[in-house]
Amino acid sequence: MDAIGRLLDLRELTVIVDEQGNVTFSDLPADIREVARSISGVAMNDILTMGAGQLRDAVRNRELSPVEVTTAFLERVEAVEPQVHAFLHVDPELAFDQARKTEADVMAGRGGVLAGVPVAVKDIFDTRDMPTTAGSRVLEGFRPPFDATVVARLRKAGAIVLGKTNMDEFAMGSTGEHSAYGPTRNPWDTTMSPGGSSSGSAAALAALQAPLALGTDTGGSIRQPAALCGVVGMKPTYGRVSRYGLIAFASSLDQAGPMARRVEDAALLLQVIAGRDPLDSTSLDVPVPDYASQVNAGVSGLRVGLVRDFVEQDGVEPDIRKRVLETADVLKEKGALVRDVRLPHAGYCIAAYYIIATAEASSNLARYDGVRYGLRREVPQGGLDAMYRATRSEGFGGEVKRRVILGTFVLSEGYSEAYYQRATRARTLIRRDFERVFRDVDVLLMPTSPVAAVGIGERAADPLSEYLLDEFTVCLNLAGLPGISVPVGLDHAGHPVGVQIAGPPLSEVDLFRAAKAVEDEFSFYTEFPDL
Amino acid sequence: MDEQLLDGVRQAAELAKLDLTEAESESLVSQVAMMLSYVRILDDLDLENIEGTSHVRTFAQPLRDDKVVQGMTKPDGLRNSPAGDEDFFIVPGIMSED
Repeated sequence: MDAIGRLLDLRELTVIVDEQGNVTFSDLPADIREVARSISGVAMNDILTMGAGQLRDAVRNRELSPVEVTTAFLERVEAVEPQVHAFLHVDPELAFDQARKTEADVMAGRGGVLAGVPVAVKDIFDTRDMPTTAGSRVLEGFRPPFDATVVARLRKAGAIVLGKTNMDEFAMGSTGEHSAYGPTRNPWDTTMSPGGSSSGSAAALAALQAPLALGTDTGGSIRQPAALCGVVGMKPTYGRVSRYGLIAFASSLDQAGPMARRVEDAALLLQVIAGRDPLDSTSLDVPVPDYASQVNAGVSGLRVGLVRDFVEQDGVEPDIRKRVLETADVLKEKGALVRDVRLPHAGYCIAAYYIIATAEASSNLARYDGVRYGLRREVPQGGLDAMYRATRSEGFGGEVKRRVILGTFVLSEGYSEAYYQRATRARTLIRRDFERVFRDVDVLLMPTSPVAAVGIGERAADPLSEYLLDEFTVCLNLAGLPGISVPVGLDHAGHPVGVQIAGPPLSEVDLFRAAKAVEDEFSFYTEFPDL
Repeated sequence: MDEQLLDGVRQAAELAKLDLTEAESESLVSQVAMMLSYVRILDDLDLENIEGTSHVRTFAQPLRDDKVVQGMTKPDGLRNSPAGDEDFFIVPGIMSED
């Protein structure tokens, strides 16, 4: 008990992340470490595999303390980070501070919706007390003066922010390899990519380093890594969740969303982060439904459209096609009405997306100039312009440069009509495709990713082949629609497979219902990778 | 590859204030040009009389009450600056000396 008492008082705890991504808690005294371990092996494993809702209930019922829960997950992070590298920054001191605060709240009968539940936060969200880099050298050392609205809401709900997760630089990438701080590895097969850009958030969940994670999705960056790591990830309707404090990539497409190992936990997290925010004028002023209470409503009578254009496409791996069709059968057995639908302009989504997203990015990333925050490189005898160039040229990685150049080109005089303007018109046709199918069905079923796994480095030489990993996810961003990826099992090689369910604006309740019905059938959250 | 397109891409890098190394210049410029060729599949579409979508939401600019609220403080705004003092961001000279 003495040691636990000291753990509660611990102030001077630092974490060291070395070049290989190994994490050690330098100042954690041996006896405290011992106490942490003595939260017996079994109990520790129970904590790690419990759902967020279960953890919250156990904390509220005083069966578990927030400090115990936090200790269990920090120990897990320390144990598996050398293999996974899901985090860019782990902050035990702040995590324990928050745990103690939540503990006091619980004791006073004020346990929030996420009381005592650890959350891993993608490093694209501004966090007041922690470094925020968006995976880029250009933001090295940046400590935001404020919290993103979603982070503030998490803290208010009693959640414990464990740290910041690795990601493709500025969320530009589909493999996690474009992080300036080294790639994250897929816990199911550490020779493989976890997907991206929310690579660390997805991997942290699969590796049991956290029960909940925040991601962002501009073209599939929540759903695709969720699929590749065997976890649940939802991109909500554009505007459902505030973007204040979310470092901008493409403002008309970016959306923050929940990631978890179970559907009901994703629903719980969305509950906390969704809603109107006066600090984001594009956030929707629409009441937030009680998602968590409706996930078990079933799919009886739900009209499901199977997107044939995607399922039958040549690039889709046979195992994935089979899994999607199996999922359609499961939904049918559970009372859903399944029919085939077509999206005639689906084949144009990638082209429209890469023009629009890069155009917006080229404008958003103009702010990284060495003046107000982050990296600055001055050139001897060079003036302001030389500083801009040196800072940007050194601070941005290859993928970011590619996209900024592409985006600048498609907006430049003489080209914007042929590229950017045409892409926005194609976007209109893509939106209309969805409006048309949603007259006949309530939700759509399709693959999340055409492949189950991508080897690290496999697509590095050919950017287009990496961009095509997003071909089933980008359409929803262009149309501002919600989508969820839910795991349905492993392929023949032992890599997780996810299916995607999409719906019209603000249909998140239906998506959770359908995803939960799928989850009930396959129960993938009971399976864990060997680490 | 189309020389005019490659020149256009190099010009875009200039506009974006990116100095490319020789190696980057070769790989990045040709990769961007490849993407630009790929996206021309949009030329197959008949987009005559189709209005563009630059944003999925059309909304009136929301207005808040005309009340003074605390925004970011000056120290907070300045504290991440690579070079600055209590009042200003400091940058290298804008005009050359000659």
